[in-house]
Amino acid sequence: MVLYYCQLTLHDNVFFATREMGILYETEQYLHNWALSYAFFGDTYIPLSYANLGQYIQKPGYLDPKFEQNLLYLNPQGIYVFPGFPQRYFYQINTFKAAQVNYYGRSKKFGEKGASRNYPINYGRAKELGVGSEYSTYIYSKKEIDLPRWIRLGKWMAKVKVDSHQIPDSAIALRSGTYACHHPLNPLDLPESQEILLYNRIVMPPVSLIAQAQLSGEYCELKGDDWDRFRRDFPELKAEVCLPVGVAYGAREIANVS
Amino acid sequence: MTQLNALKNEFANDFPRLASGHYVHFILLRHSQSFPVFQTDGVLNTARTQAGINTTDTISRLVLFKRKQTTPERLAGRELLRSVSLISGDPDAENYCQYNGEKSCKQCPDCIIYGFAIGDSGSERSKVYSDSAFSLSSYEQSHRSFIFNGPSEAGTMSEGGQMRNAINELDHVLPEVTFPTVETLRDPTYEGFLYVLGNLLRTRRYGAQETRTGTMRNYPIAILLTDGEIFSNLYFTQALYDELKGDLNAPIADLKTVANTVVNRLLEDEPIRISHKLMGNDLEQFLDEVSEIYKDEEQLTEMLANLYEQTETYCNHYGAKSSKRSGKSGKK
Repeated sequence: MVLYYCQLTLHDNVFFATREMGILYETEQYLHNWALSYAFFGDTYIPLSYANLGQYIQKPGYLDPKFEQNLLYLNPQGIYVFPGFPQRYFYQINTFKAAQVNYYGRSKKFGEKGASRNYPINYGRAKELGVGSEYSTYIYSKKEIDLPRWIRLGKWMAKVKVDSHQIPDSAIALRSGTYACHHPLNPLDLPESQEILLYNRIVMPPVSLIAQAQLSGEYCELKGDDWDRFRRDFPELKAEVCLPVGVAYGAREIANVS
Repeated sequence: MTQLNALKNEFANDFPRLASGHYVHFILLRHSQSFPVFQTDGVLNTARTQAGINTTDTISRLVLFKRKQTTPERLAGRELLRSVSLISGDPDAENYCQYNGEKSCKQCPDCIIYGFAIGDSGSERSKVYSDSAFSLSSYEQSHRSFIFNGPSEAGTMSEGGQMRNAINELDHVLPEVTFPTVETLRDPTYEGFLYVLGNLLRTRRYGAQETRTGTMRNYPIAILLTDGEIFSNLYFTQALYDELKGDLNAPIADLKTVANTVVNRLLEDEPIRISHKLMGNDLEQFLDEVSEIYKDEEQLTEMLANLYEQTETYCNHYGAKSSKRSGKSGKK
């Protein structure tokens, strides 16, 4: 098993409609691990079709094997991307508006004449994660893989710079018991054998994440001299980091179904 | 047509259903030539960024959002398609295509290459990726506030003793402000590639008030065919900033030379394969050849007709008019 530590730097504003309040759309400060998984492996392990048609377009199919672009492709490779933790982040609010072919289209407000739908048809305000924000995450893989240096993330497909570093095996120890994981986790991807004791909830679609969690189960402990040597270049890393083992896309969900 | 012919075989003959690792990167210097306005909230868009990669001071930069780049380019392309009657602006016509609306034709080159989204009726991912562009020089040095007015026919602001109120003040971007940019195109055919390149070369105005001001010119620095993504606009801008060592108002000819050096250096660091690289004299020659196509009605019509056939075929096989709806793989 290989474990990578990745630093992500936004080179453009990243936007997800985590919360929609009228015409204000807000992005959560954490990056969802499923979004990151598509960004990292969306055209290598997961097929990405250009056309979006038929019964599946408005239906979330992250863990549905019938849906072509599901995340389950990554499980046989042992690849798992953790959610992104914000090391340094800021917001920018921007108004967006769709253009019409006559170069000037007046925005239609709620209930205005000509606005045939019950939502603002072509404009809104997006609260986006600002350029320069920095995130960190971890990636598990069965074998060594080439991680891209640039990924595209969010609804605007913003470019994000990836600096990935393989954590030396000697810095990783497998342990079992009760541990605290400060890195955000996706509860649906935790296997049944991981008991979640305490956590903060980060409410966001498609699956709320948990942070500052206390869990019981098998875990990877990053600690000791080799870890200290590794993290010398990364002042944001703590002296002791624990990450759950056995994580896989839909681990809990699939166990319940079968 | 030597450069063109050398490039022709690098492209697929049709648009694929699934995204693959065929990337074309257009590296440009977008250069303002009048007073553009890039704003969304009543003031010019700005962002605070690190000045250079090695220069760690932060400065405010003007931002040219991605949509403000692709929209005029798409509209330029659609004008061209209408001019050769491949699409129509007449709602009753059979080949009517509405921009940004429910009545997108879903099969013309614009719909297939730049994408569309119509709620439940499906969508097409854009094959063109653009990123927000950042001004090379700081916001403070790159803008000025102007008062604009709407005088009466006599050229005065008072009419029959009444003052007109058509007067306002607005921040404008100054001329000769540079926005280093990478625009990316995925999985194109040869004709699709020429279409997007043509749009980049033929679009003259960006930003608000397009008929009055906003003239910009795109100076191509490099065209690359690769198997992956390359550096971001911000990274390119910061690397140029470092290399120029404060001489940000250098003439465009000098900027182009420096940009060439910087692009070559940055590409060395990218862990990707470059199957074709056009820069310098090769690029000049190549662009001349492309201009010849756009100047010659016969060649242009043929190129666009071929392109339309490809996007129509795509639409019939995989797109909105395919009987086998994708979104799931047929085999499972």
